[in-house]
Amino acid sequence: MSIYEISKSSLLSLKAEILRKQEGFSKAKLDNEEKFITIKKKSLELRNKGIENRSQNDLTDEEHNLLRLSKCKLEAKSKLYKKLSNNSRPSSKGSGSENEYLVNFDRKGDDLQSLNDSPVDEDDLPVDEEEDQYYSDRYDDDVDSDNEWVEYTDSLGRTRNCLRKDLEYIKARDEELRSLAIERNQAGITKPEENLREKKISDDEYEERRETPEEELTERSEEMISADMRRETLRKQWEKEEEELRNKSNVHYQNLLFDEARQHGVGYYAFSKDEATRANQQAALKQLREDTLKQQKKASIVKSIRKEQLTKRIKAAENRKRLRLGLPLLEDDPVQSPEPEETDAEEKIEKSKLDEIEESLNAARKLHIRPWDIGKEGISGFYEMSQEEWNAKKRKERLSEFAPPSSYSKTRETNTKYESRKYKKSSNSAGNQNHRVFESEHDYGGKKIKMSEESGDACLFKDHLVEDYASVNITVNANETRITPGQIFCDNFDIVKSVENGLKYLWEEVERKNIKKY
Amino acid sequence: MSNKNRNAPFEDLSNVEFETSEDVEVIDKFSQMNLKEELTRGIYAYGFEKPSAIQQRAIKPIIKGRDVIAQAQSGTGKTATFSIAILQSVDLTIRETQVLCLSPTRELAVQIQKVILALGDFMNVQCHACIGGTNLGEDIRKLDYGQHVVSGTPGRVYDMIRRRALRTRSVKMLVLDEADEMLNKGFKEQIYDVYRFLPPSTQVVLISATLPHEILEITSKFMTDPIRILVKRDELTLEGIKQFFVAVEREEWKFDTLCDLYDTLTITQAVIFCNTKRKVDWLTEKMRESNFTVSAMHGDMPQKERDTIMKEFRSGQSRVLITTDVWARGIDVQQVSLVINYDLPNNRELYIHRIGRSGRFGRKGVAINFVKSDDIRILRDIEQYYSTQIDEMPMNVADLI
Repeated sequence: MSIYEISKSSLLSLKAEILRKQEGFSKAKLDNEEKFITIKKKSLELRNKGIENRSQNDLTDEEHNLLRLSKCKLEAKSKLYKKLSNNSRPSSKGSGSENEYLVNFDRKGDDLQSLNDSPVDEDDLPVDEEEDQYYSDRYDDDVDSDNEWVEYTDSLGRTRNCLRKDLEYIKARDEELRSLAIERNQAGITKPEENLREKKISDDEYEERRETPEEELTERSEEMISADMRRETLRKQWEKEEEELRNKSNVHYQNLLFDEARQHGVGYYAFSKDEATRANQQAALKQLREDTLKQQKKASIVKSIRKEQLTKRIKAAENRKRLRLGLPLLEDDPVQSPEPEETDAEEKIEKSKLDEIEESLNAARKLHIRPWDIGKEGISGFYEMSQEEWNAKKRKERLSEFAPPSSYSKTRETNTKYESRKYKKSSNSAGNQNHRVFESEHDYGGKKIKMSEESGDACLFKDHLVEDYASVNITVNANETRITPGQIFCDNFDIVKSVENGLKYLWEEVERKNIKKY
Repeated sequence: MSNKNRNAPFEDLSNVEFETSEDVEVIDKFSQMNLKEELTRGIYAYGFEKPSAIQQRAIKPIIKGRDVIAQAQSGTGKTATFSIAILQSVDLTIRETQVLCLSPTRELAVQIQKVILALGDFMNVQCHACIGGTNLGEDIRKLDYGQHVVSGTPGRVYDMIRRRALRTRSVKMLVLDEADEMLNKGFKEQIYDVYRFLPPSTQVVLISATLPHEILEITSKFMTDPIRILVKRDELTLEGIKQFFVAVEREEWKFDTLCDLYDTLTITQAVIFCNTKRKVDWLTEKMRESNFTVSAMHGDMPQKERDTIMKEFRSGQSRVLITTDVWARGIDVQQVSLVINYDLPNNRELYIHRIGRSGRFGRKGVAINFVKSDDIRILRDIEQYYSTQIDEMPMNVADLI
């Protein structure tokens, strides 16, 4: 915050410097524009006679070689095209042979037909569909810097024009093409003619060799092949992936994705399918994370130090002020109110209380034996049956000839509808375990009663849960007392109903008293 | 609830009204759930930002070890709910099966495996899909490598347990996805068989969009004091899924209607439900004869073909899928925005599940029901049961997708 003295001369020299820079910049800009304009015009210009000879002389050896290579390639290409269009293409349906040539011949057929009649001009060779997109509108005169045409030489030695904004993309494509070409060369397929011959000899062998670039190919030629073909190649790819999976001990998400069109979060990281690379990637991520944490920690420490310093400074200033006014100095006082601690303590107590309840509940839950668990190792299969269950069991075992007359049982059923229904249900569901199942339902019934009586106090109810499980027998036994009287009145419905209601009421009273006792 | 019970202390659970448990804690941020760091990262990477209602409520109790019965609308992140809880409770240092997750269809089991692997991508969790129709030896070998989680269908899982390829000693949690289906007649015995092999008092988690009363009744047989998170049936349909019907006089007209709708179907992706496998075959054949591109899937196809069709549909290679109720539950393909009930489903629950194939996790969806005049009654019943609205299909239905 200090003030420096600035002389007029230094200001002036600064101004002069700025002007000079600006001038230089504008000049450079103009130069560049000129350059681009000449490129643009080049293709429009009519060529002078003999200019080609002259430029031929200008060519260096390297350039010459490049041109020759390019010419040679194009000648080979045109020959191949001719051959293919004359239907000498081998096994066009088998194993995605289209991919091999990066050209959809089914579509190109017509174009080629016309080309066959006239001598094939190298410059007029058809370009891929995708390329068309980028090379058309060559003479568009837009001066926008992105739309300017630039020249470049591709990996096959061809000199081509494209829009500046597309250069990046085309470069990437070219790189792909080159790597593909190298791979092919390594596989021993140098010339397309050879390729053809070989294919005829051993289709299977070839298939194997082709496997590496296939993935790239499917991506690259996606737009060029029909939906059916695409499906077929995808199927093959999936099969291959699955085959690899079969022998893998560690399976990860990326292994199972199979080109699924799913949107992931921004934080999604597609780990490599290769175990080692995956580990590396994860380690790198971890490192990054740790670095971030470190930085954050550092930043927070710095921040806190600054804050401390600031408070100290403020305090010092305050003290100075007080000193000037003749007041006693401020002491270093811990300005922490004891109140929050108290509430904390309260909360803690509350929490520990809750924990205690939770624990006792957990203990109760552990004590509970699920009907489906009975008979498992460590679970005693012993349950005390209620009289009623015992009856039911015995009745089931009894020979039907010894059973009471059917009329008797019918009336009985109407009266003990709860029990009979329940019995049916359990016998349906759990087979020979029905008696135990049966009991457990009562068990819950017992719990429900308690709940109703003490619904006002949830904690109390929870404490009683343990008792509930113990008090099963009581509730079940009580159950019987209700049923027996009902059996006496069975023929007349009205009477039965009214008596039942009366008994229900009586039962309620008894039950209420019972529960209060516990 | 208490008053009702006082009068009839012996009442079985059939007259009890199940309600969501009290004091279910709501945690509205993943970061507040005390999850493992890698897991949290997996959750965000998978695309979840904020927990859905069910995730806010159910994850914590499951992690705590409580038995949980969780219900939530279709496509609101139920699978992720238990997957997150599973991943939090799994001890990665022990390469043994600690969680067993059963689902009614193979595709669903595979999908759950995928979700668990996705959420646990940063944890390097191992999860195996143990499903029928695959090579037994391979299954045994994979289980032998050691898996933290096994997601499977009951039949094969039981088989693996009996062969001792799947050791259940360390299993501490059993998850039944689509629980109502799993505890239905067809599956219950199989679930019981599997359960008998698990250590006593294994934590049990039930999850489904539909939990009918009779299913809740039997949960007491294998669950201890479960926490219930339930949805009332009038809140079970999603606002985001618009439901329509097309009335046709005769069955044959359904086909013409479908052809007319084909352009709408292919806007994104669509699923067409028939009630029988034979009808699926028939409809597929007929559609293809009329030069429409469709794929088809049902339970009678070899597993390999089913797999491929699933992959094609998931990758977007095929856009229209004709299928049976094997596809009704749980399958999650984000791009599906249209469901057609060529036949009305056989029960109310299936209706909810079928239309729930669209409108995944907050997206929009449309369900169109083809109804013959005598079917309208059934549709009205469904409409009333879920307190929802099923209107006649408007002309601009394509705009709603």
